[in-house]
Amino acid sequence: MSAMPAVASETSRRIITVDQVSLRFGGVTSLSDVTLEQHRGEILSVIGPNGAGKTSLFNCLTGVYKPQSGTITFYGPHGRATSVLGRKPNQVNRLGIARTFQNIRLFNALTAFENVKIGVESRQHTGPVGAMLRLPHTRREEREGDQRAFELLDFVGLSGNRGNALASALAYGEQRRLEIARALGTSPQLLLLDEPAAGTNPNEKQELERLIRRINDELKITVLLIEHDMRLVMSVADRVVVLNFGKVIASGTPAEVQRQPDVVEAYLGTAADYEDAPEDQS
Amino acid sequence: MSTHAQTSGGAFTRARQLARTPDAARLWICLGIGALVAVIRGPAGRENDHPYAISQALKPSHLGPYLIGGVVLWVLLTRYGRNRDRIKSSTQGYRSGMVELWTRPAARYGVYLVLLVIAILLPQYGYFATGYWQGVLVEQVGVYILLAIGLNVVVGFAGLLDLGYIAFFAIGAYTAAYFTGALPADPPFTLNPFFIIPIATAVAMFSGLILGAPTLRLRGDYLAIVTLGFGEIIQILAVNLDSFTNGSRGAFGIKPFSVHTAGINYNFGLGNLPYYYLVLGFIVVVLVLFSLLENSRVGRAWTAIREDEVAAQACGIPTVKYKLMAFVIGASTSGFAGVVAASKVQFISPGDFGFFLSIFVLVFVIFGGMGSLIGSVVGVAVLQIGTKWLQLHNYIDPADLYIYFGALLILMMIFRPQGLIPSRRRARELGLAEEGIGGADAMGAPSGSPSA
Repeated sequence: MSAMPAVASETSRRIITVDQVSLRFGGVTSLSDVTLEQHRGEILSVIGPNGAGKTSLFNCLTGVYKPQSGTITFYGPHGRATSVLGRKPNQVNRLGIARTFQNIRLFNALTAFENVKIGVESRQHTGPVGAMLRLPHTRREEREGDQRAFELLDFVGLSGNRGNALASALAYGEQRRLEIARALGTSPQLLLLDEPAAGTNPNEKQELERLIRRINDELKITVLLIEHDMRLVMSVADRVVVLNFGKVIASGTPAEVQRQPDVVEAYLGTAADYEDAPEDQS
Repeated sequence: MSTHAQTSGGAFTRARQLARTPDAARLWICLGIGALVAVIRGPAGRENDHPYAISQALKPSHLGPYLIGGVVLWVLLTRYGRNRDRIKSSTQGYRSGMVELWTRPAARYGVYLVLLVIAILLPQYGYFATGYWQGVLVEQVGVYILLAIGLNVVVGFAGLLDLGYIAFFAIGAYTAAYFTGALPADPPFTLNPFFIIPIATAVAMFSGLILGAPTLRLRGDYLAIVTLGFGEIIQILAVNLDSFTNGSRGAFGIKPFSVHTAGINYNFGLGNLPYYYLVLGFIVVVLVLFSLLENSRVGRAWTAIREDEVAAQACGIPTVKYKLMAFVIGASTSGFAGVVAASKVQFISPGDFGFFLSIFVLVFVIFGGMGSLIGSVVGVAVLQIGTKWLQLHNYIDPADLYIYFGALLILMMIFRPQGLIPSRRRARELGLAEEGIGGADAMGAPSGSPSA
């Protein structure tokens, strides 16, 4: 943050704002009046019990769901505002928002390398004619794509012949990291990670923590993280937003949030409803 | 009395239990298949005596051999079923050796070269060096290979089900007829078919764009239904647009390809051999172009869409645009094949563009291996030459062809869904689906994905 010029105002530093967003499925309200803001360069974590609306929020941010009301605005590097709403997922990705999925969605019949290359190539321009005739610019793009895909695989720790393995043949933790590499391939400014630590072992969690830090520090990519693992959230996040029943119930630094009685209640239940408390940790 | 009833009841129960074992069920199915084949191979029906064909086919003298065949099939199946694992493991080394060989580019190019040499020599020497077979090789094999390669882009690469593919073939053929002055409507100028190719390709492409742009936004089976309808519309237009297409009488005198340049004056005329080599050249060019396309950014994007449309979109791939691209490329190939076919045969009529041709081309693609270009080539060659040979020697009745193709498709789906020569990516997808990872039903929409 110290790298930011001192004159930069609060508004020019934001990367995405969610304002009064409500999402309903029939009679079920998934998100109600959710408002939050993320600054460029920070790691923001959205936490909350199961069914709190975290993934719904992600799907709104990436154009998969269209909320009934509210606005979502993405700010480019020079502060140019663009509405995310009404854009298809691929157009949102082009704006500079990449994501991973809670239930890993890799292209399983392709190799790890090809998976990342598909991400990288979404920013290239070769059309069918160029591809069929192997024009010079196609060959150049092909080389650049290979290079970038190798770099990214290396970055997430899938170097060497792991890149030639089929995505489905990778270990679970490797698949998580491969999905991140694929998302990074699309050159995002904002990376949304949907429970990247789910189902990973403590070792892999530590690697993941380091990886998220490096994405933030070395690649200068802003990270929005949904996570259940409190230790990961508390160690990696600059700021935390807590959702419960589709509403923002708290936000602040990890330390601040942890102290709020609402949050403790949302996670542990009050003494009164302790008996029928939902089993939330997945 | 009561004991007798009990024993007979016991025997009855035991017989019922025996009849319920999987082996017994399989026997019934095999016998059923035998009877079915007996009916198919039996005499044709009579219009005023409907049960005639079946009653004749089920006479013991006719039915007997087929039932014996059914029992033989049953024995083979049960024996294979019992020893399946052993057979699989004993051929494992051989099979993985083949796969290993196939992954080596040098071996692959070697095979392609051998195939090309065979294709060049085929109509010149030996069995196929007759007028009949040369005609078949051009009109029934060559043209259909072009068609199958194009449909492979749509069905195999992008995973879209196109049931009206032959409509673009018709558009290409009628464009060729128009620009050589064979239609009642006079063209502003007549052209050599070589110059009609780009025009017809563009026209087919444009029709594909018009048809695809609204429908490809929808998910699932809409495309299949819309293309089915489109195929019918084009055929009906060809029949009813009398003043333009000459209706069901068809168009005569479509000009053949010819070369008039640099002192060469050559007319391809009606000759089979010149056309054979022309079509062979076209096929090689299209194959090279499409295989480059498959291994490019565009081909990978298609694979991504086929495997997981939601993830592909999240990776920034404009899925509608890429599907439309595949659809249009397929349509243009079909139009191209239409020009070649029309100027070879020099006569077209609406009956040449029936729904069943679309299905045939689809069968060729599925048989050869969806997503595998070389599979399409081999699939068409095997099926077309095979059926023509069987018909020539009266082994099968041409009217029964549809039944055999249907049966072949079912057998392929059961025993070798990846096709004769599967594409590596497709084969992996199917293998993974069997293990329960991901959905290989590439022609349908990915399940459980919310649509924006």
